[in-house]
Amino acid sequence: MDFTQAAKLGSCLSKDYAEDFFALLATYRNISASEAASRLNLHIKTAQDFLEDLFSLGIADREEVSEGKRPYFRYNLAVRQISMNLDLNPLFPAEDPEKERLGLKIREAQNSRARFTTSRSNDYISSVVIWSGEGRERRERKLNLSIPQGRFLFHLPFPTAEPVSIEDIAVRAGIEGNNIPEIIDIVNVLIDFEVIEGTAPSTRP
Amino acid sequence: MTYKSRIRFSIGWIYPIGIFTSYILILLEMAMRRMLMRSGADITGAPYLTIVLVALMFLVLGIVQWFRYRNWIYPVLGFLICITTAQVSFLYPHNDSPGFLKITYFISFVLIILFILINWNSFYSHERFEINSRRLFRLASERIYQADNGYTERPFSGGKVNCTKDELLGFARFLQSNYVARVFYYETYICFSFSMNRSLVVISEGREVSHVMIAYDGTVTVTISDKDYRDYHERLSFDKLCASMAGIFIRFLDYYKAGLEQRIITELKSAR
Repeated sequence: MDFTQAAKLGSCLSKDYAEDFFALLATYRNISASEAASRLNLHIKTAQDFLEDLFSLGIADREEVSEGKRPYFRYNLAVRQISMNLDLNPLFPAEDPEKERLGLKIREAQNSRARFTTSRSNDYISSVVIWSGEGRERRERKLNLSIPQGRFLFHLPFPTAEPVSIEDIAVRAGIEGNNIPEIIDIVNVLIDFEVIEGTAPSTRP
Repeated sequence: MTYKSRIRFSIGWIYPIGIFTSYILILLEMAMRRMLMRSGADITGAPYLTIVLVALMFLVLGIVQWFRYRNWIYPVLGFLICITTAQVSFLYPHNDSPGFLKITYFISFVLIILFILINWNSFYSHERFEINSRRLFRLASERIYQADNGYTERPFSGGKVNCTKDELLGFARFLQSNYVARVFYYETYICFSFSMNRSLVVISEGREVSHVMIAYDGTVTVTISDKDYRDYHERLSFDKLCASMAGIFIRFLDYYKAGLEQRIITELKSAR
């Protein structure tokens, strides 16, 4: 099951009428959307959407019938059990691009229009506030940082300093290897917001 | 080669310049009045124009100092001196104002003296802190030749020093007692505050102005405020300036550890 399907299933199950609806489907051999809506006191569109979602997920079957009027669908429960199996593996960053990213030399951008707030203990950055747009279009975006991210940004070179690789800054900040993905994530976000500027590492012949 | 300061001059310098200029203006105005009187003009000999100008100068400087230092004693003192200066005109001979107005001048004068005496600690501490803060900023910028700006509000990680907690506390007491920096004690670190703008006498948190923080584990962090940075004539390379400031405090701490405290003061006084 992919994330879209899981989200759809989760949304169906979270409805306050979901249990009654499943009980109705289990009781009736098949049922139309208008019958289910009148029985559960729902709007017909609500019942129709719910049944169509169940059909798209393979939980319900449908059959087109026409009894002297325009055709419509009758639904029946296709399964007696629902199991959700969500694979999170594709969400993990691939290791090679991550290693490649570690070599990226970065520093804070000039006039980055960001405000860094330090923690009470003054040894890491607790949040970054970034402003974008002008006048009435001005928007504020606040990023609350994890402690490793904050420590990393605390050691980020200043705008006029020589750029330093992510790996070297992480070493300087005493960040452990398993925190590297979140470091790379915040660096990517801040590069997108033009708070950090990065230069690709020079390749040796 | 002539020396040129890299830091804008202090407002305090305007007072002696203004007072000296006012003497010249008084002489000029009196000479002009005498000439006009000789030519038959119906005017008195008292230099009212200069008196009003000097009174206004004190008032304006007091307000300017309020905006710069955020210390209430300066606008109040400016106002008192303004009133007193304006009353000088009552003391001139041939002034036909009632006698009690002459007495108000002396009352105002006594009020100024009392005000200065009561707030002497604030005046003295502020002046000493500001002079030494300026020296610190001069020292920090001495060997910086790059002027490529790069200001950021972010604190600068200035490395680590090897010292015990007792040494650090002693060092803090030494700097505070010599008005080099105002010291704020926190749970895990000590904050050494210094400023060329906001008065160190009125701040309640060390972070309100430029500061160097030294943690009890030896970590050094430097923050230079935007206002202080703008007081340099050039936009000095900010990372170099912060690194230099961190270096100064680390060096001063080394002097203190080696029992060479006097060298700290000598080095500060040598800053130009």
